[in-house]
Amino acid sequence: MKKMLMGALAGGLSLMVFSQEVDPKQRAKQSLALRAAAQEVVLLLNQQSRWSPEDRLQLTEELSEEILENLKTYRQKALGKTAARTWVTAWRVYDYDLKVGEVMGAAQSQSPLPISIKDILKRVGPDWQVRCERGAKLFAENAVDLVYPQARERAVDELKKRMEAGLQYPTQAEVDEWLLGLDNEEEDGSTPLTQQAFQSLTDLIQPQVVPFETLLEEVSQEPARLTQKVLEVLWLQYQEQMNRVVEVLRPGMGEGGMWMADDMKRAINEGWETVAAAKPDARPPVYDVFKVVSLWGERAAADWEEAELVNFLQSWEEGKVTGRMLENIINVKPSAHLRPEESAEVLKEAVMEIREEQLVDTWMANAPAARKEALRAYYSEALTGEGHLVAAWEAEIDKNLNQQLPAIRQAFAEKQLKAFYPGLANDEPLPESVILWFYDRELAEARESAQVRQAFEMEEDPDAVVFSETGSLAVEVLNEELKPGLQSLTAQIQLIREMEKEGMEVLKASVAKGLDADVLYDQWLKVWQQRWQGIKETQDPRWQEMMRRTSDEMRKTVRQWYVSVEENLAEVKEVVSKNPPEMQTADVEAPNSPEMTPVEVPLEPVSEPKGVEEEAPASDVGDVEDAPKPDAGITEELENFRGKADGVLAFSDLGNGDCRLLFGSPDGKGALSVGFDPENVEASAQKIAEALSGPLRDVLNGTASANEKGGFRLFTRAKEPTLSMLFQVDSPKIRHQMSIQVRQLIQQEIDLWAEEKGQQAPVLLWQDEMGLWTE
Amino acid sequence: MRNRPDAMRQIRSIDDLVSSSPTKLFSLSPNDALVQISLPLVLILAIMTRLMVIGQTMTAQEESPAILEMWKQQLIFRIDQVMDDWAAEAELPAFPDASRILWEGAFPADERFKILCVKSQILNDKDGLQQRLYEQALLPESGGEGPRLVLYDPLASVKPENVSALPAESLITPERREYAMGHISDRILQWRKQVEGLQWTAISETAARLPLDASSEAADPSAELRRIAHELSQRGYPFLDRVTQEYEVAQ
Repeated sequence: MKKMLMGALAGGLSLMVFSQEVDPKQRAKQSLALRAAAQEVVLLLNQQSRWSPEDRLQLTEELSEEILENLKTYRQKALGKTAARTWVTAWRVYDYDLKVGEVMGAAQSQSPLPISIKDILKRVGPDWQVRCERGAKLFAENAVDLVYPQARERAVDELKKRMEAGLQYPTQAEVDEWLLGLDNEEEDGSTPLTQQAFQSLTDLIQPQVVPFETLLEEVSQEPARLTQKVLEVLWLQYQEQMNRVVEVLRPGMGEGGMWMADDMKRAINEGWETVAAAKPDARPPVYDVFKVVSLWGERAAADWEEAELVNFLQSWEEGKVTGRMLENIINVKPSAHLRPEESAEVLKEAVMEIREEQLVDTWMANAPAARKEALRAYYSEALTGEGHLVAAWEAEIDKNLNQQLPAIRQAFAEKQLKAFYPGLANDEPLPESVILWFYDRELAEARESAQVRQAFEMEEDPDAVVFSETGSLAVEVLNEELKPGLQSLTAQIQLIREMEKEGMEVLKASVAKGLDADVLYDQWLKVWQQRWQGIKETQDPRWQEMMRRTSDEMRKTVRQWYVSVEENLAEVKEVVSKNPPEMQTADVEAPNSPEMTPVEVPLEPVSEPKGVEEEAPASDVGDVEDAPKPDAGITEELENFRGKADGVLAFSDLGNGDCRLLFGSPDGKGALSVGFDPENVEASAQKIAEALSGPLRDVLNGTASANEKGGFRLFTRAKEPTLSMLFQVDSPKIRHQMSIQVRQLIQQEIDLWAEEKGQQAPVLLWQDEMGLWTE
Repeated sequence: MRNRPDAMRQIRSIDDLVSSSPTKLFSLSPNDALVQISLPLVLILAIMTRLMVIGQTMTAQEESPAILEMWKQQLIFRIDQVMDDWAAEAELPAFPDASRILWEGAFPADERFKILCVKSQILNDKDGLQQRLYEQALLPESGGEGPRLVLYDPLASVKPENVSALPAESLITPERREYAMGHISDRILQWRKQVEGLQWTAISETAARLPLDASSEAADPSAELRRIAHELSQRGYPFLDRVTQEYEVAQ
């Protein structure tokens, strides 16, 4: 109780003291000032979102400064608008804070008692901050569309000014480095730099002359423009300097005392002394003479000397290189001129040696007496050995040689053709042996002079003593006659092949009737000549008659078939009696024997050298009864292997679990087809060997005969006889073991045959194509 | 042997000193302290205070005349009577401070304060009120208590009967009138100060209570004062010119 009384007493006392101390009028004035300030703040809050045109100028200025300070943020105009909106919002809040500060200052000045910002804002209300920010956002929404474009435009203008002011012209050293770099890139150092070459510096110098990393998109082209401006300055000054050099280079030899490159260099250097002094600090700077210009001047002086020489040479009539001069030089030692390149070098050296002294004397004829000896010595040195004008002189001589030398050499070649290739230079027709040389080698034409020499069987090689053009001329002249001859011979042989294909049955029938081989040959010759009548008109008139090779080939073909049919006469007669063939001519009839195939009678083309007697092939036909019966399908299948090997062993599936072996040469000889069980390798190999023994021996016999005559198609032209066999497998059932077994059996058969015949066994070339089924 | 008792006493003293704690040095209980220290002090202070009052009274009696002059006594008495009546009529005694004013919302809702404000309007004309109260005090009072001296001021509008028969004591000379006017003026100033205090407090309170006007134009304290004073006047609380024209005067 006592405590309560004491507390009440103390409170009353303090209230009394307070009430005595605080004047009501002062307190009222404080309240009024506080209220007025709060009212003012409320008014500010109400106006926070309101856009006033008076704000535009200030806001535009400040926003443009903001853009310039934060170029990265405002780089793109569209994206920068968002940032601008945020900034305007903040600006408005800040503006509000400033005005509230002013209001508080005014309130404090009007109040005798202290007033704090806290009191004012408390009086305004608890949501003043939310209202302030919301109002600022609304203000920004309204203002940004009006202010941002103007502020940006202002910033862009200012930025352009700054860039212009901040443009850094390169130093003399930098420009020299750049231009020397350009000069080094030029292939021809004598050509001045082009404005296009200057343009190629753009990317290199732009970061240096316009050192702005982040820019507004509106001025993104400004660095390029300013760089162009700098390049334009450099280009103009370069041009001006170059013009001075060119002016100095204008006089000709002897004009103004210009007799050599050093005179010109001296004149150029003296010209630089009249150029305006460099002003590196000026904007744009005035540069000193560029190093590249100085270097170009030196090179141009040297080029001037060379150009003057060329001009003189072109107008120097008495020093011209003539055809007679060249012929004389060639005649001194023709063997030094076999090839055109070597000849040109020899001729060039000779001409320079002859003309050097004359050239210097004539060129320097008008030189001042005081300098004449020095100039003669200087140019003598320049035009001999490795002198700096030798190349120019050589080029001029080369021009003359290129114009004259081909005709001169051609004339020499024609003379040499008559001397060294008499067979080509006369009016006689080309010997058939020459044509056969190319025909037997399946060559359609002559391609080199060595072939000409071999075809004509010349003992000495003319290439060692004639011009290269002479060999070419010989080839050309030969081909002129050779090509139609080869074409005619090919057509004639082809006609025999066609007759062989079409008239085989008639031939068999004729043999069955007992006609003699010579009679048959006459019949074939007659038929050939009848059919050739329709073909020969298309051939060259020089080669329309039947050639000796054609006659031989026909005789050989008839004989082979005759022998073959005669050996199987009984069967042939039986077949012919059942199926009489349609007669091709009144005298010729042919049987239709299915057993008779070309396998039984190998047909080799006859290409023996002239004078060699044709012999009947030794027939050692095997057991044809056991041999598989060939048919047209087998022959067609075998044709697919043409060019791959002399003989083919092709394995494939039959569909019933067994496999099939197709044997024969690509042109159908020895064709047979054998079925076997692939699971039983050894038995199958044995069966295949037995089936092959007959056809294989026929082939071997034919091979031996061909080897004797040097032209059996199943054998290659190697000295040692060979037989290439292709072992092709298209069945997954055939194992590698089969290839080995068959190869061994065939090798045994070859060895056995060779032993019986007492001949050299041909080398078996085994091509194994097991395909995907190789083990 | 004579020294033995002294020696024992010294030993005891030493033991007392050694064994006693600091608190034991002040062995008085709270009651002892109250009785032995506080009460004598209070008594001494009371005696001193009384003596001082007696001294002051004696001094005052020595300085003032023992007997007031009749005219002065009569005049002051009448002036006080008239002014007391006016103060009571204006409800001034009801508002020793502003806390007595009744409020409803942002504005006062007090009839007596309303009367005070209306009545106090006359304080705007201090000289007129001063003259009127003075002349009211000069009026002869009919049926008054006891004999009263008739007072006559030749310059006043009030004239007693038979002026020539009045004693010299009744005549209010210029000096006497000046004295009376001074007395009235002092009290009117006190009234005015009291009323101003009340009204400033009312303004302060209204300014604090009145909601802010969102649609209002920019304001300053003088405008706010004018607005509040106008609102209060409209509600029957006219304020003194010295209050409402505070800022104009200041300017």
